[in-house]
Amino acid sequence: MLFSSPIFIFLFLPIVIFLIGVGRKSWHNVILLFASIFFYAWGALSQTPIFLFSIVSNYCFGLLINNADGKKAKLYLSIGVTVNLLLLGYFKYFNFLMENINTLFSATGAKPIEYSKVALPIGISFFTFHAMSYLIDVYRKKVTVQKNLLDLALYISFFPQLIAGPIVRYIDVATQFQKRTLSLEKATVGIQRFIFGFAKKVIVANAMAYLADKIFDAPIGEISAGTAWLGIIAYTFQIYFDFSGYSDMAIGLAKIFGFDFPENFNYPYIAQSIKEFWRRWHISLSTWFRDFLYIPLGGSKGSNAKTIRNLLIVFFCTGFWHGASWNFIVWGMFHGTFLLIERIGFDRVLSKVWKPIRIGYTLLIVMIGWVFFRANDLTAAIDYLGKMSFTASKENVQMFLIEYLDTKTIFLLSIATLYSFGIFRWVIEIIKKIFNTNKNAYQFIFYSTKFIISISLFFITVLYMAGSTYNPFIYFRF
Amino acid sequence: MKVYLKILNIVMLVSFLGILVLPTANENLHFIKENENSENRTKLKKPAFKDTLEKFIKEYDDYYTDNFSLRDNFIKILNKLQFLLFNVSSVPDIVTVGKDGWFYEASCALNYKGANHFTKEEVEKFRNELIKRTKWAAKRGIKYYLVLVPNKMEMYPEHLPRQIIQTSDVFRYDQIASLNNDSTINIIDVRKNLLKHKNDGRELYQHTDDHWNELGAYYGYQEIMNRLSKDFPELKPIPLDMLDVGIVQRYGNMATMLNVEKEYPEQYVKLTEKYKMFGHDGIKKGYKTLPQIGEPEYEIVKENDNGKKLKCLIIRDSFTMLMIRFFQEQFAKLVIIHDQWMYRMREDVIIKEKPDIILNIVLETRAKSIIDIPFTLDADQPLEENVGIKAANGKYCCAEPNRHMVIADKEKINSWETFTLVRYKNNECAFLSCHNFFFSSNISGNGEITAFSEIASDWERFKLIELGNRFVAFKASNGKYLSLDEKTKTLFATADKIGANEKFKITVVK
Repeated sequence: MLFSSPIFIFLFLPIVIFLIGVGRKSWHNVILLFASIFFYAWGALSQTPIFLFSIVSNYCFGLLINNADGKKAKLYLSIGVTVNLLLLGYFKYFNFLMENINTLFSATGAKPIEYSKVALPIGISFFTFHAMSYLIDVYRKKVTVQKNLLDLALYISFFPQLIAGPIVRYIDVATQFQKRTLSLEKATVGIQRFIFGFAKKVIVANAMAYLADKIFDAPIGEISAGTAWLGIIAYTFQIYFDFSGYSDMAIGLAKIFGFDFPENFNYPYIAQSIKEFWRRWHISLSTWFRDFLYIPLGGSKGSNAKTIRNLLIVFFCTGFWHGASWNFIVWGMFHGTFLLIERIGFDRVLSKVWKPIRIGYTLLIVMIGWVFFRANDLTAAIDYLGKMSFTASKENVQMFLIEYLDTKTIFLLSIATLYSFGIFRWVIEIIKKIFNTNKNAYQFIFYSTKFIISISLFFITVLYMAGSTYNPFIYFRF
Repeated sequence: MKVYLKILNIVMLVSFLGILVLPTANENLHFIKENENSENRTKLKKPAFKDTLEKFIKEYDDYYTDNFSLRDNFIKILNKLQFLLFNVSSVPDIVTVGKDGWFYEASCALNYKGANHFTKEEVEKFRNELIKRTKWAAKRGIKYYLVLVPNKMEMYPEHLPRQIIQTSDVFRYDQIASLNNDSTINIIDVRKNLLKHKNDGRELYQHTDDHWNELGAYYGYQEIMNRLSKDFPELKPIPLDMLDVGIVQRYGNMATMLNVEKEYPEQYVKLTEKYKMFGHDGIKKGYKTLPQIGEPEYEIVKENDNGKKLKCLIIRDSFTMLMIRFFQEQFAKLVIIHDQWMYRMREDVIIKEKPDIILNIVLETRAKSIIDIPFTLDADQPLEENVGIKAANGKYCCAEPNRHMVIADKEKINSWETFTLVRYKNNECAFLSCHNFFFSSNISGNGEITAFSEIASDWERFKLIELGNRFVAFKASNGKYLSLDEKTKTLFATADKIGANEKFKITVVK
């Protein structure tokens, strides 16, 4: 079930809010757990046993780790992490592995291995990472083991973060399972955050996706260099508004139910280096890799060679986590390479140049990286980059930039730009300063306007959600 | 201020929840009137739990997405809002918003831009396909014509949005029309006549619909009749002065789709006959309706008893509809089939109808179907023959009209014992009964052959095996041989080998 689907908005969400509203506080966790499992099963019923197995096995490993000490605890941790990695490895990477083995076999003239494709369980990348963070933190004694199976199950399965993150660490929410505040103020803050994320996803990201898909799916020879740039700009906005929109919705929903989730995005496109970009983009993933992979590997404490190795391992894993394809690995390594370049001295050069140039450099690298992320395969990515370089042949070009720039697209691109570069935030801060006086009249105007904008935005987004289901047929009954 | 903020928060919560529950509440309480569906399609039906729970969930999700209460109201508001604010289409892959209130079918843009020319090989395929169709028809005394209808974008490019950039002035239309130089091919190019009259003071295509109006259809018809009159001098177009030209207001399909029909009503050019009309609805054969085409639209039959002699079969798309009223005054019988934009040479219909003229009327954008689904018959294949089929019991086979079975119990060949033998490639054949049904091995029950199929698909084709001494056997598409059951005298398609009961003798009936 997607947050931006009618069944979630008009049936699932109001029912869960109603049950939480009328249910006793002591029932809340149980209600949320059943709602979460229902949410998961609705989208992937046949994969639910795998999901439940993951919950139960991690609960057991948590207890085993907690009850053992020394080497035994480490052994249980290793088994627990291995089970999670095996689950992830088999369901997410088995097909990729077999495809590559068969490519090798066919190159050597050997007969390819026949295999049945494995279906990817929804959210497996997220729930296995949730579970591993829990086991490792229990082992490190950073958190108390969760003895209540229902509470641990709720941590792993809580529907706001189940299928698209953020990767909420157990340590960040451990105490909230027993003690959290449900208040009108918190709920309305959550509602506004949810509305905002919902609009980012449904209004902006979907429109950008339509544009990016049109351009990326066109034969490469037929698009002009300008069109290719528009395609990658649209994709740059699509992935940001889509992903951060989901995170906003997750954070907002969690707040409605009394939970506080950490932030996942912080204006990544105003980063002034690739290093800074990763402090602003998918923060929960980069901190996960930092704490559970980079630092255990030795981080930057060893020799330069070791640091380089550690960084490349982390970025290989980051790329591979995003999807079982060479494109994602290349994307990860591409970022890792630029991080290294900055580390060996380019950051000093960057620090001396004008801020917009630093932002421009980062954005350019990020956008080139997105080409690898979005293109169907590596060859397509290279071709697309060739087109962006203005050096490709113009002979068969039939799709020009101007054809895509209607008033709505221009409007949404402007909105996306103003938001992504923090200009909206800057304006809001100024307005806040003006209105944040003790004068009640000013506060009255500020909060009333905010309320009207939020509800109007929600209604408009609902219209867009309904509009996305519009599927008229031109010929029938003429 | 604190109190005010609290009130504001409560209002916020209530408003949010109000929008969340609005569709469900309205579904039960009906306090807001639901808008009509403007999607031109049947919405998904509530699924029944039949198979697996997973499948049911998927179907229910799809059903809910298609049917939640107020969905059409929301869509209508959004479409209108987007159009009025941004002047853009809410369905950009279907409707292109042009200038001055003109809307175009978006899928025609590639052709207009010149971005999807036919390759040389495809043009050659067209040539061969049209020659094949023409020759096959000619052998049966039928004249075959391909009629091309131009896209609205080509006819009225002056109202297109600036975003659509033409990179070539050669259209697919020109590529196909150029084949007319081949004397064996008959292509009727109605575009010339339309362009000739484009600036006569009335528009020929609708602003808010992808089709032409009645005047455009008339000029299309006029060109067709002028061309037909060269081969059939008795055919002459009805003169325009026999028609009154007027304007009525209606709603175009594209404006309806964008939900701006009231803002952009169509000033529709309408023709009214000043002459007495003789054409009237005829009796339909009941050809099998194709999935997307409703029964009333699939087969249209018109008859004219006012001294007309010629019979015409039209394989059409939507552009033919406005021309039917003119055609029906010209032909003794007019059969019109909508072949779901495949424009196939429907040999089953042709054999049954035996027309003098076949018009394949095709919108340029969809013309590629002609080469995508080529005609399967050979131009030089033998003509259909009327035959009698004698089974192993010495009796002739008869199509049993009530039970639709084939029974071998008749001593003589009369009409019910006469079948049209249609020969295909690789010794395949089909039998068409006198009541216009094909033998079919798409058997059920005990495996009897039925005579109840309207089309000659694989199930209706049999491999004809010569056994010498004028005896033959027939292998059905299920791999079994046609066999006589001695007790019931019924034909089955159940035999694994050719024995005495699988032998038949064919007699040509003059």
